[in-house]
Amino acid sequence: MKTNFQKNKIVEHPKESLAPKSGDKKDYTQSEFEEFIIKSGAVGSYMIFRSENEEDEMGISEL
Amino acid sequence: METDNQSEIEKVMKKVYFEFDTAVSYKSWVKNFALNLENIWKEKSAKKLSENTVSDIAIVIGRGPSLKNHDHLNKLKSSNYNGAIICTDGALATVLKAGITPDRFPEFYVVTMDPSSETGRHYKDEIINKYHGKIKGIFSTVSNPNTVEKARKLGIEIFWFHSLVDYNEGEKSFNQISALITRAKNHENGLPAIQTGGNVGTTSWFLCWKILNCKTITLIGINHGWEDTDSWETIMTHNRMCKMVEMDKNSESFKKLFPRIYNPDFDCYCILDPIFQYYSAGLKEFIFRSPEEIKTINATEGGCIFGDRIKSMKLEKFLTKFD
Repeated sequence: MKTNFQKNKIVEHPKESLAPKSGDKKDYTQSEFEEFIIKSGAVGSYMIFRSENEEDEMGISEL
Repeated sequence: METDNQSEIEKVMKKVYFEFDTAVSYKSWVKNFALNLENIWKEKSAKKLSENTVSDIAIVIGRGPSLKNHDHLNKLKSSNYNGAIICTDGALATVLKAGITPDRFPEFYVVTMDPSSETGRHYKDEIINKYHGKIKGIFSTVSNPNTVEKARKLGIEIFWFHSLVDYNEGEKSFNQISALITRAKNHENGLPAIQTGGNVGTTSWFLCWKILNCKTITLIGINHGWEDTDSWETIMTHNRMCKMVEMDKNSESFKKLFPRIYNPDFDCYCILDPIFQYYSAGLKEFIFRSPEEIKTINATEGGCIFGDRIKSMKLEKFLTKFD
């Protein structure tokens, strides 16, 4: 992870909060999210691995 | 589960990843794997670690800000905890300097999964050499070879696993081909292939369950979110890992991309960015999907990892179980 230990200068953040709950409606559009990801290059070295065989997503003991 | 949001995030991540990043990542996977291969053949499978585990309790240590905010390393050092320590690579030097060492906790592991050369900086500190021969390193076969060599020189014993990246794409996928090559010598039964969840914290949680056979996995320093005291520059660039995008901070889009959320378990707030939304939703999903016998305790005392199947608890309370 890319977090740090250093405290940065104190800045103003919005006071309102969004609590993530089960089954929340979609909070933002795909295009909003995509635009940000493309502009920022915020893609890590790995994706979450997905498979049609959902069991594989939890790991394979011997590959 | 946050299925709608996560599904949207994953669609975008997948599209962007394949359009803009796969060519770069694929090259680094192949290059790193090729340069690691002789050592992969010579060294041990992470599966070997399953044979010698003593405790079925593990603490995964990330490097989130709550580690320092709550003096967690000092509390852990002063406790009677006797289970395994699984340290993410970025936290290793800090953890050792705080007195969480393999002398005090003999089942001591460090995990590296990222193929980037940036991981080399996690194995620069001389304090690591002080524990020469006492730390077990669990490394992805596509870890940067220079990073692995640094770890090796510091006396870390290397154990290998495959990171699941494209196994679903069939026989010609990188996962399948690199597994076949690995099996060609000394690892006839292959290596374990692990879901990374995109980050070393989630990888470590999976390794505790799948490799170290732990039934109770406790998380500290796994915030997957930012603090109110972090600057917008830090948050919006994921601590300078990506470019700053100018946005109206009062816009609805901004608030959705960088929500400030309330963690009811620890009565605190944290701010997410899109990457942490992606990672945290993934980790929470996998915890939810793990077998009932796997108990996940979040003792981070901050961040956004809470919800189904996650027992939040102060670290001090968790540690009293060992008194």
